[in-house]
Amino acid sequence: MSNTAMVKGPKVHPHSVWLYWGVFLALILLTVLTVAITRHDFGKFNIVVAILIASLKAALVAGFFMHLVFDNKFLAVVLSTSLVLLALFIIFPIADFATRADLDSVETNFLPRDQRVYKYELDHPDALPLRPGLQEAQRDKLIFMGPGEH
Amino acid sequence: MANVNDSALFPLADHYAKPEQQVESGKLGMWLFLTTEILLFGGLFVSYACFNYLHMDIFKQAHQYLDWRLGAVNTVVLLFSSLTVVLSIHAAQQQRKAYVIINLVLTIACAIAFLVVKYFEYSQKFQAGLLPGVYFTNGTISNPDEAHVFFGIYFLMTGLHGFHVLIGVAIFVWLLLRTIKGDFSSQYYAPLELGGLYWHLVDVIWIFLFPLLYLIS
Repeated sequence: MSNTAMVKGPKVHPHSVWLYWGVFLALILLTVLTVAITRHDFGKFNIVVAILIASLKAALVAGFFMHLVFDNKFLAVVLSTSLVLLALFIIFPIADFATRADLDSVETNFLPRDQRVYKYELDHPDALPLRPGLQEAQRDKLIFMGPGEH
Repeated sequence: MANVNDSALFPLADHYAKPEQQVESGKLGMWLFLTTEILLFGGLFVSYACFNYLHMDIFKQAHQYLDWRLGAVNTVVLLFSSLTVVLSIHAAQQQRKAYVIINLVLTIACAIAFLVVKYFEYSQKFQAGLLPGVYFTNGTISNPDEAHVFFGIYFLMTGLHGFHVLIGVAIFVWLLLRTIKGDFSSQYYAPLELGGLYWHLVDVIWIFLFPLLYLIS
């Protein structure tokens, strides 16, 4: 514990109380709006609209209740670092999932010729007798399989 | 009133040059902590995003087992408690101790009300067997083999958030006791501001949890 000395503090200029009540009212209205909108089905856009409204509410809380608008702007920079990182954390896995099937199909199309023959034989087990060792190779994942087959 | 504001009421720690520096340092430290909090919840938001992307049908179906009315009530309760926090700081700036105390008591009451609603929600889920992983025993849902994923995320996110609300109650009880003791003045109320920053972040996280868990279809 450090020693303290009583000194004269910084001069404070309180904001009007109506600013805070106004922000609160806006937050309540946006909550009602979120519920009203998501009770209707906008399909895929439901989640987009819900996140947009939630972000607006979060911005109101951070800007006025947490005083980011009035405080040293460096605090806003500190906050944005975590938001940028969070955006990266979410965007990269989703981008991965969203494009994975495409990559698989590209790789399937560019399979080496002999593997394509193997694949044909696996897809049509009745057409030809399976090559010796092919089932073992498939089991051991030595042969690349197309989407939905592994 | 004027002579109160002119007197020396700010406890300046001896490693700071000026009161302004002490206040700014405290805020910076709190914001740094809040960024780590955002990243802590961030991991859960990432898992939400991934599982929602991979199993949209499960999320669409399972979220109907949550009562959006209770979620909406809790949203309003938390928003109001954020308002009472800023009003308590506003009252402290004007040296109105009674208003500070009233607003802090209202904040604590809202936090406890939030937890009580959460308790009823949780006990209803426990009884219905809507639980994560192997504990999922609900028979009415059409895909019980996968629906537990949603409830795993639901309990992790709301559980971690509820834990933060519980910590918030402890912080505001401490701030209330210090206010009653007369530690704060129109010149010095930094602990109220920092506790408020924490509480607003808890509110912001709920602002995202409410639509993502209760309203998504």
